[in-house]
Amino acid sequence: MSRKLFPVLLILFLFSMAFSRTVVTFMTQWTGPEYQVIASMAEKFNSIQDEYEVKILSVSNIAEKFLTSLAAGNPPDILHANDQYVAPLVAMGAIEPINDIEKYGVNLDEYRKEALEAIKYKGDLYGVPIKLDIFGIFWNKDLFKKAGLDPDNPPTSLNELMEYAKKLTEYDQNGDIKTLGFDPGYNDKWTWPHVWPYYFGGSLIDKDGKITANAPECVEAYKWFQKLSELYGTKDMLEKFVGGYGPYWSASNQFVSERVVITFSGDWLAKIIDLYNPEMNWGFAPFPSKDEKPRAYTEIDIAVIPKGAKHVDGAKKFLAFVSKPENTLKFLVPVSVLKEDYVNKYRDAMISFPHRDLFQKIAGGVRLFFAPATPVWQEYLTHLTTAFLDVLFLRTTPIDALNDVQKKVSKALKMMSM
Amino acid sequence: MVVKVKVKLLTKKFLTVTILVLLALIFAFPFYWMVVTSLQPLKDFMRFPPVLFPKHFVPENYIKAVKYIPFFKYFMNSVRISIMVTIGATVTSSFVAYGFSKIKWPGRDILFMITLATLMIPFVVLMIPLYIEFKSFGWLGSFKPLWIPAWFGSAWSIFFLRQFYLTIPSELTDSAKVDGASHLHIWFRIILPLAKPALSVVALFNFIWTWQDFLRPLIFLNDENMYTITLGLASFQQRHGGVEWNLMMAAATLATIPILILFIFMNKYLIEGIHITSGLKG
Amino acid sequence: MLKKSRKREIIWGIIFVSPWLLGLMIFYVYPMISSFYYSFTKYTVISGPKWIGTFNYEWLISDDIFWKAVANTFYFMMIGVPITQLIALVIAYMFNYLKEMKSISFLKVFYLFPILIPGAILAIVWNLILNSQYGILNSFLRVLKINAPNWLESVQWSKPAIVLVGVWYIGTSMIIYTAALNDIPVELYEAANLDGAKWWTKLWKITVPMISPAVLFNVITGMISIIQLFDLPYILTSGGPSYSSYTWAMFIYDNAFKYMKMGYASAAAWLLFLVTLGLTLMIFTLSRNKIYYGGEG
Repeated sequence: MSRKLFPVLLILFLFSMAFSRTVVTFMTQWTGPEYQVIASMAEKFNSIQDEYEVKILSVSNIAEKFLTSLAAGNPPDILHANDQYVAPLVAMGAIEPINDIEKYGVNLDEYRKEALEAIKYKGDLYGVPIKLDIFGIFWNKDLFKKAGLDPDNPPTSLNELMEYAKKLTEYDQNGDIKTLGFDPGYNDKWTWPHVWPYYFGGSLIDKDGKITANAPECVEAYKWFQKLSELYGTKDMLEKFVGGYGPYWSASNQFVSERVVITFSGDWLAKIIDLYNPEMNWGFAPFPSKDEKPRAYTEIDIAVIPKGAKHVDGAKKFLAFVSKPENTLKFLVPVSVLKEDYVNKYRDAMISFPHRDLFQKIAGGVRLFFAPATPVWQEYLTHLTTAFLDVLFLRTTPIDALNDVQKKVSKALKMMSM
Repeated sequence: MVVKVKVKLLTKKFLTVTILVLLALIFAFPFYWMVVTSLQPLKDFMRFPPVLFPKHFVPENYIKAVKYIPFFKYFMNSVRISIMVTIGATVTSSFVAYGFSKIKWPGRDILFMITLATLMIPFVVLMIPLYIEFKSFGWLGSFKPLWIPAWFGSAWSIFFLRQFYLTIPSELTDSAKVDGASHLHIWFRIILPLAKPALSVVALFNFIWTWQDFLRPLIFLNDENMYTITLGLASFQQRHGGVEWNLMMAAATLATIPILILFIFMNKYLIEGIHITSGLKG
Repeated sequence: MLKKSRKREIIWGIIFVSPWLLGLMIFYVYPMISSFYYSFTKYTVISGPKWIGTFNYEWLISDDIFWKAVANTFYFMMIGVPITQLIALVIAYMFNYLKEMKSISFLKVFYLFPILIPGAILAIVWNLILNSQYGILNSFLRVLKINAPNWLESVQWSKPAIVLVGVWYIGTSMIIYTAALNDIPVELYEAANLDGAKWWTKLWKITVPMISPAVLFNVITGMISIIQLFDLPYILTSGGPSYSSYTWAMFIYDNAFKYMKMGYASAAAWLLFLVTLGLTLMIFTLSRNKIYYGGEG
């Protein structure tokens, strides 16, 4: 009996081997509904071919997880990264260029020009754009009206913004700030210190990659914000007001609870408003640029293939699948990485999303810009954050703060090239 | 005169009770608030000024919470791992601590210092070499990295039990030695029974730390089906997708149940403490 | 004859510690040697380690953020350890004073509740308590007409705020102290009372020596855990404002996983290790004659 059983088992075993699929891992920070979107995309992909099986791994602390697995030669096949994380990884050679991705059926033409810029580094293509978040100023229309300002006309120049900020700020009987006109990012966890030089026509690195933190435009930008703070009051007054901020993602978000009239944030602030204060009337517009050419800071998510990934072919096939317009449009964001005509052509594939038209319209009229691509970006951002907050809270002068950043980040760049 | 002294004593006791109760409420407050928030609707989350005694409750949050993530699966993973670690760490440490306290041998105190030294390097620094090691053992993809190391002993537990064993008077062990008892016998029949309260403290804390551990499961687990409850809680937080705070608090509250049960079981030892002297008399 | 039994003792000693010895080699010595090696390399984790000698250590010395982290860490140690241990001891003493009242003893568990709060929720809870305007603590202080500081937003108050939060975690130490206090034989106090001893004498001649092993344990483990303080400042202040609450462990973590300078982080970690070891040895040596062990083996 056992003599006949063995060949049968052997055949069954070989049979199953032929049909067992290669697993392709996709590591992401997504959870909840956003996770569901990519998970169902993977399911669909798995059902239309039988060579690969894509598994989505949701990880909350992606830096530790990714770097540790990379160190042991065990990276995921696809990493869901954002443009700021990608630049250093690319510069350090942690990611494979995917210049042949068009052969897999990816149509690069469908993406917005700026999105393509973000996935290229020094001429090579490194990933597939997934989604983007656009940033700008949100303003409270009801409080505008109360202060005698036209609720449908946001400030369109830096001078106007400063004026409005002063006009909209209110104080209570103790002299403390009760309502703040404009909050550009006093909350240390929700602040974007690196965007301001760009609105003032400057840059944080030059075309050779040298650090230019203390360039004149950067200093000018930070000077503008320190002037804003001085307009509001003293360091203690500001600390006290900001100390009263609740958690950003809650009912006591400073903008949502109407203690701040104008704020700078990403499009996802709309989600917080809908959740905790849906009756509020608000608007969204690009932050004014010094040279009056409209631009908007953007963060873009990119799917990349780490070096040492074991199933590159499967990874590329899945990325090509995701890049199809009917799939890319499924991601839960108001503004898509795709060009306008592709969005219109495949409109039916989109899952309905609140305020989409508002954000899409703004995105159509501005030039998108991103964080600079430099290998020392993480350190640069940390030092800029400290500098910006020190400037905002009147602890130091803009030139001192930025000189310090320049010194530290230049040293980091030098250390990195050793 | 006696009455005066009695009144003074009663006042002292009453004052002490009041302080202890007040402090207990203050210490328990964060937990209270977590439970209260778990029963609130999301739209009221952290509305200022804060409401400490809400009137309106939404117990459905608990049902939604256990559906939002594979709660039961993650919970059982945590239970399995925590029990394995607790048993391993407690048993082995109770064994090892004996060697550090009741036997004299050259190099003992140096090795003990080295044992303490292992507590002094932050885990993040050891993480990558450990990961590489575990990969070469073929342990990745299983729970092994999370519980096998504990079976070799836990430095904190060894330190704690060694201190405890040192307070057990030598008279108890000397008489047994004179009668020709082996160290194994002394350890198992004399020291261990006396150490029951200390062992339960060690077991309790090992369980709590393993249960709450976030970094090790994050790094060493690669399959969502094997995730622990701490990783599961993290999945309620989305970067820009909003946080389901009330559901997360509900899940977090449910996740404290095993520890609360342990508190009740350990009650006896936590309350009565360690009584060596009663052992002596008996 | 003596030599043989002495040899047996040594063998038994080693047998008892052997599981730990093995585990030490595998799970600690190898990783620690690796990280020591990394501290002499430039290691981005992405590319392999590249030997650069003592550069990391030199750079650390000239890194002002590193020194800020070191200074903050020493602050937390010097202020945090004595305060938390003292409070734990006083509360334990109060519980011991009422030890006959079983129902009061049950309250001890409440002091352990803070451990139940997962990290993700800590920021929210402490915002509720420490918020400058709506927080419970400041509302309470205002009632008492005390000046309410901007706890987490101010450079001067960020560290005290974290020490305050740290006090919530004394449950473990407190439990250990109650156990140690309960352990003191009542006969010692009775004998002292017969001799007409005052409260002060009883405290210093009986209580303190009898709990000295527990004090040593708590002070050392407290010091080791505070010197590695990471979670609380990371969650509550991100080390700010302006690096005022940035700790040594945060410095190590940021350099390892944010800036991908694993070699640099390893160097900082080894310095931390050596300092901790030095302090522990110092405490052990200084306390050698003061700790009373009834059962030295």
